[in-house]
Amino acid sequence: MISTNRILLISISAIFFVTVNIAIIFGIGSLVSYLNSGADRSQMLHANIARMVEYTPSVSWDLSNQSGKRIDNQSLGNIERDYLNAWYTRHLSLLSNSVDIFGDYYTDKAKSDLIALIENNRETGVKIEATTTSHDLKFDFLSTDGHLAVFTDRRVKEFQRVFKNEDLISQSHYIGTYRIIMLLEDGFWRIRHMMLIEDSEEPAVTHAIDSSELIENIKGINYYPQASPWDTFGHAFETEIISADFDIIKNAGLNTIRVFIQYEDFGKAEINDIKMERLQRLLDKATEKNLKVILTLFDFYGDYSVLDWTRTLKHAEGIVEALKDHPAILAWDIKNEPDLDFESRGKDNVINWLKIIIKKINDLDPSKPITIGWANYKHANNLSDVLDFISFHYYGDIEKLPEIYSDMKQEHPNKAVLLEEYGLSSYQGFWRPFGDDESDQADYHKSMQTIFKKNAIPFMSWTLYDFNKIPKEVVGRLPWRKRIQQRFGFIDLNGSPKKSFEYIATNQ
Amino acid sequence: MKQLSIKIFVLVIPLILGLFGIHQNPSNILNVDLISDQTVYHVGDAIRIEFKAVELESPSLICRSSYGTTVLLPSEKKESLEFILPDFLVKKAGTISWQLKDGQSSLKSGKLTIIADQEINSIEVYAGPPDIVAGGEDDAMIVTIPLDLYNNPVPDTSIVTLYGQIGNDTEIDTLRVSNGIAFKRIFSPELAGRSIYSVEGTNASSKEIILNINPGLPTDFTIDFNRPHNYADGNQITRVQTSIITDAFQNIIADGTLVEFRILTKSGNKMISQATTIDGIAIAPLLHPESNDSYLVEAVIPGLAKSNTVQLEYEQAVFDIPVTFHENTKEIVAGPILSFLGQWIPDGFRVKLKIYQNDTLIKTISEQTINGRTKFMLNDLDIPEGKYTIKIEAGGLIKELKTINL
Repeated sequence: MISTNRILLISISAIFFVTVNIAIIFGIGSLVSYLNSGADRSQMLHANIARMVEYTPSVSWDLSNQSGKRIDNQSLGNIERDYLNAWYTRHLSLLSNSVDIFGDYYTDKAKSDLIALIENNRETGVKIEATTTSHDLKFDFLSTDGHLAVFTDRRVKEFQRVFKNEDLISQSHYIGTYRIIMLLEDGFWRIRHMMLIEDSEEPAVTHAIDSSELIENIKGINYYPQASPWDTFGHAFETEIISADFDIIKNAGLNTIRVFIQYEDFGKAEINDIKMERLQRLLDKATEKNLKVILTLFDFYGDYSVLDWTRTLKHAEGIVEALKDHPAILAWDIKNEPDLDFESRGKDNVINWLKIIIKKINDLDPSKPITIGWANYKHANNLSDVLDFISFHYYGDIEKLPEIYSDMKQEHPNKAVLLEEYGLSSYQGFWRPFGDDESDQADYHKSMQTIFKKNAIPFMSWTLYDFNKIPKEVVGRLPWRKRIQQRFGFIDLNGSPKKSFEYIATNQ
Repeated sequence: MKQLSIKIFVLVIPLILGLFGIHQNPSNILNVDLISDQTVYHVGDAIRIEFKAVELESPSLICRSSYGTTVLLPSEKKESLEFILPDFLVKKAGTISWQLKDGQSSLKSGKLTIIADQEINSIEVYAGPPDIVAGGEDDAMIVTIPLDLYNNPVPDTSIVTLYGQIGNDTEIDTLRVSNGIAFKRIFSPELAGRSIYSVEGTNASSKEIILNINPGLPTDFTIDFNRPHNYADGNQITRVQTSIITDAFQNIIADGTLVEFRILTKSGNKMISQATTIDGIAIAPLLHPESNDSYLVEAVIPGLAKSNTVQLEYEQAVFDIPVTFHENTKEIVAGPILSFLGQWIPDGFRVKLKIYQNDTLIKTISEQTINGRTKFMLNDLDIPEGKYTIKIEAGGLIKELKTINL
């Protein structure tokens, strides 16, 4: 009989042996892959320099009135790509005051002009954070051999923040016109001459659509399907489910839903076709069921940095262009509760970003009202001059709501004010033993409806269903938060109406 | 109580007014006057932006220029607020827009234009494509960027002169700058060769610009041949030669152009020989056939040009094949085969031996003559004993040996 000790010894040796072998093989593998790294042929030929998808300002070309050789689409695409790269690397250089970023997109002589400016900025502690959002290019000339191009970049919309010794001293929008001469060298179109020929500050525009009547009639609800909260357009998307839910909503006496478009989920700058098609189907269903939709964009987006603007603008363009004529859409809600990011991302950054997106959407679809769903009513005076109606979320004391609302109305006499989210969780259990139960929730909604009726407050409740799973992006990982978030619905996990369902709208 | 409220009122009102005062747009209070009202400058000029002296906490001037934005601090000067634009800004033509700041608040803004020098200091030239085809259909372009002392494109409507040497002719042309460049399209001359150009401005000349004018497409040509004799001896070579092939303007086509010689024999076989041109001429060597024949020869440059057709006649050179069969050694000797002058046919003349049994071909052997003769050693052939018929073929003639025992 073999003793236990021996078996133990054998197993330990075996495990040790295997581990050492794995380590050796791993070591050899890393060494081999290290030795194989380095310049390869595709690098020499620039074949692997991918188009920078980080920078996607809107670009249009005017090719009429061009002299020299007629430009073809392929060359125009190359010029556009390298020209935008020149801008992007210039922004990066001015932001970091580093001179080794823009190498491929400026000729040596142009580079020395840029370096002089950047070195001066570095020495004097100046930092420029800038981006351009739109280029309206007029092609002037292409040489017969296709190696020299002249064009005018008209009305470049540029936003710029200037820092001196880390203090922000200026932030403005500009519209500039540049004359550009580019040369094709080593497979790159490089800027040889760049001359600012006109420049002015862009006047701020105010947005004014009188949408009071539309908004003041809203009786609505924030909507996610029960099986796929925060993932309405994911794999679980089914038109039948949406249709059935819309019937419930419609029959409950509501007329509006609020739906969320997640920025990354929808493909960032390049809109994901599948999700878009599902969104279209949802909107078609809403039209069919006679429901209006407030579309909340940029959910879970949190970058706001100036150099990320062009991507978000392209995202907004992709969505708004495709949907602006859809009859179901009542309004664009730029972002859900951006005021929650004020502290972590800088209020300035958030507000500037919101402004540029509002402007973009207004340009693309001037006919629809724009709003922002503020988490805190105290932040609702931000940007109120460029928003068509004011939206806020309220999970606070019921008693105070009428006063808060009338104050807000007074502050914005010409604009509708929408209570875009409110609700109460009926979670009572281990994590919150003395919390509200379903009866409390029903009482809450009953009182709310009374207040709404009395004060003529348009409302959208949170939310139709109780949910089983809550993604960590919503309230974090803490279980007590998740549990509470799971029980805001009017309909429980089994699909039966909770007591509160009776008070989902006033007319029931 | 009433007194208290009056006191509060008296205390609070100035405070509120004071607050209003502070929150007003500073530009309304601080009437910053621009002293320097010049808005158009010549490139390289010193530029001062000067304001009437005002007490500011942290004044700065933000300047947006062609290559980006920078921030200037006032120079040390007591009586006024003065900003001096650094070299890299005053040396670039274009617009500079400035904004006077005190901390974060904007006080005044303005624009100025820097105009490039009319005087041309250097000329960048870009010419291409460097090779074009003669005849006026093809064109190249010379693009110039005339620059001033500080490397700015000179203002539009400046003028440069283009000089060209095309063959023996000299051309002079005046080009006007527009959008920073001046250009000329140059259509190819009829004569192939090199055209040399240069560009001159007020104070500068360009480097030499060379355009290669290559001959155009070949046109139809003729072919001719020469040969030592016209006998089909399988040994001598007929050289088929093209005339000098030119384009439509008598420019000799480029060396190395491939010419294809297509040959049709009397029996309908097609043969091809290829040759490349040197100085416009391509030569294809053809080996004489071994029996009388008639060749029709035509040369083409596929898809572009072709020649006339010439006929080559070859007369029979061999009239008889003497054959001896040595019974004991089973050896067949063909020859001496005599050529047209009665001389031995030159070495390498092909002789074929075919062995038949009951009219069925069972073996073919091919040999070449040495000193007019060919030997076939039938013993080495490894064929069973029996009666065979043997045919010997050379120069289109056939000799037959019947019922030979092997």
